Amino acid sequence: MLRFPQLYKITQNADGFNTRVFWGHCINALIHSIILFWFPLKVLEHDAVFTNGQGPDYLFVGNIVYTYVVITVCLKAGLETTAWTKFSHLAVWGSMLLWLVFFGVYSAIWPTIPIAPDMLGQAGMVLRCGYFWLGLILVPTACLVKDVAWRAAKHTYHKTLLEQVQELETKSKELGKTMLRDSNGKRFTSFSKRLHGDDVRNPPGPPFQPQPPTPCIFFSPS
Amino acid sequence: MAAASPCAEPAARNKPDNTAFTQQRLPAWQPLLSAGTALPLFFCVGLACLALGLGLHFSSDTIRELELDYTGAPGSGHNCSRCGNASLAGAGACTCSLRFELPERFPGPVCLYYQLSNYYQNHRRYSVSRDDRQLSGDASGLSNPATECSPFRTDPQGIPIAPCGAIANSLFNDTFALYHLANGTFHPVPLDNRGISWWTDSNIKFSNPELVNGSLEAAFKGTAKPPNWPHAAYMLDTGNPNNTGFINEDFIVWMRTAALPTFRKLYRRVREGNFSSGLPQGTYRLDITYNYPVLSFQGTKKVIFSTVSWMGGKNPFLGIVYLVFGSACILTGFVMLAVHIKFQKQNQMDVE
Repeated sequence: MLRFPQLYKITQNADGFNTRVFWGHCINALIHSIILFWFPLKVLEHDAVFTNGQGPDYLFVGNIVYTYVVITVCLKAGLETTAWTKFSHLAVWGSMLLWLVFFGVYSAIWPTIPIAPDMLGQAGMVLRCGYFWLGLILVPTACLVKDVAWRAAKHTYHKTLLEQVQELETKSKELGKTMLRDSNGKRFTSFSKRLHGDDVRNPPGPPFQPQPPTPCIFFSPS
Repeated sequence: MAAASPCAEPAARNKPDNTAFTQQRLPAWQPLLSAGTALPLFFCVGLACLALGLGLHFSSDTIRELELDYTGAPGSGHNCSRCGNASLAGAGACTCSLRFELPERFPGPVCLYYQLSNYYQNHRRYSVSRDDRQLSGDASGLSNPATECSPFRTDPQGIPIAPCGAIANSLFNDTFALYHLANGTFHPVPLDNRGISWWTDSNIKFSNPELVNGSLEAAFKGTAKPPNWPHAAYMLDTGNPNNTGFINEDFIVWMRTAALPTFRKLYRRVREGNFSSGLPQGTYRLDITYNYPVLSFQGTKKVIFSTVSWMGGKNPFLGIVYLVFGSACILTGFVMLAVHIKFQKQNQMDVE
């Protein structure tokens, strides 16, 4: 940030979240919702969805819709994430897993615990249905293909300053995708050496040094 | 470094930890999505979806299905319109026969469904009108049904109804018998009524109350039958003690409420005897006991014969959607390619 103080402009202008971005997300959510609801409903319309000829019920449709919703929402959140830490992985994949575990448990507790009698057996039947698995490949992909395409196209024809800086940072390491960003240049000298070595077009600014505290002044502009 | 001045003190006391978590130095993967990287993904996904869509489409085409509408609307000249008129007039049971041709052999097992239309099993108050505690054989459920069941909770004399609720009360009660014409005579086709409901339903969720002196009728003592039923629950399929009372599979299948107003439910399977390999081509006769009135709400009743595959019954929707989506993906891939080529030079110039 010290080398590219223009990056502060992004938050100053509310580029990341303003009315336009908000309504864009809302319309996107509407399109996602249409796909997420109507697709499973139309697939299960004819009520013969199991290999043995048995039929589903309204909760079956609902559980399938909800599973697709969880997957789509988690993947969309992951798409919006610019830096995937281990907590991001935990949140995205962990949420999907948690729903699956909850679904399995909730579908089996009646009558041991006297709640959710209508959910009994749902998880087993949902996971046994071929349409569910086929839809699992198709529905979240159909929802997110436009988002991925939009993001990729925007990144290609109109890169924001933030994305340019991120790209520069990743290019300065040979192959690795992991980027250890540090404001304390002293501790990660090996990385900063490589940064300084390759980056001849943008000469680096002075490395950040912790200033000794001067009497009654807590930081000095450097 | 630590000056004697009092101004240096607060900075040292409030200094945050210098760990990767608190200083936001966690190792992170920063994916950079561009047209060039997303391009092969779109083409691969598109081609895979096209292939899958073709497979699904052909798979659905191999499934055989035959529909027979037997509502018997008045004035339609249908064999069962006599029964339709009788049901509108409120008369009792009526039987009608349908003769039909099976155009080709249906490989087994063939499933027999009944389909109702304009029938909203997903109506809000209808769908909650049941008592699962009572249906799982709980004795307190028999004597004190849930309040959601009203107005089908107790009969006019105040005796609790078993099974209570509107869903149970509206049990579908038409019966069908199938005959195949061979050598000039009609031979009955055996219809198997086992295993038409979910395993968890018939084994865990639904179970009869404890037998009293070995008798189910005695277990239901002190309860009344639902108003629309001809007989009580313990008289369902009296020939088979494993299929009577609450665990009657037709009853269980009906209690699994459908999602849409046009729905079909599994009635029987044809998989026994001479017909274990399927229904041969030829002439058949379906004898229907027309009990269920649907004309009063402009509903229709149909019987459907269907073969099954790994994906269940006939459903062309999935194949078509996959084909459409695959094409859309490939189209997007081409758009990405155009964007990538057009801006590739521009990006390279920017970097230089």
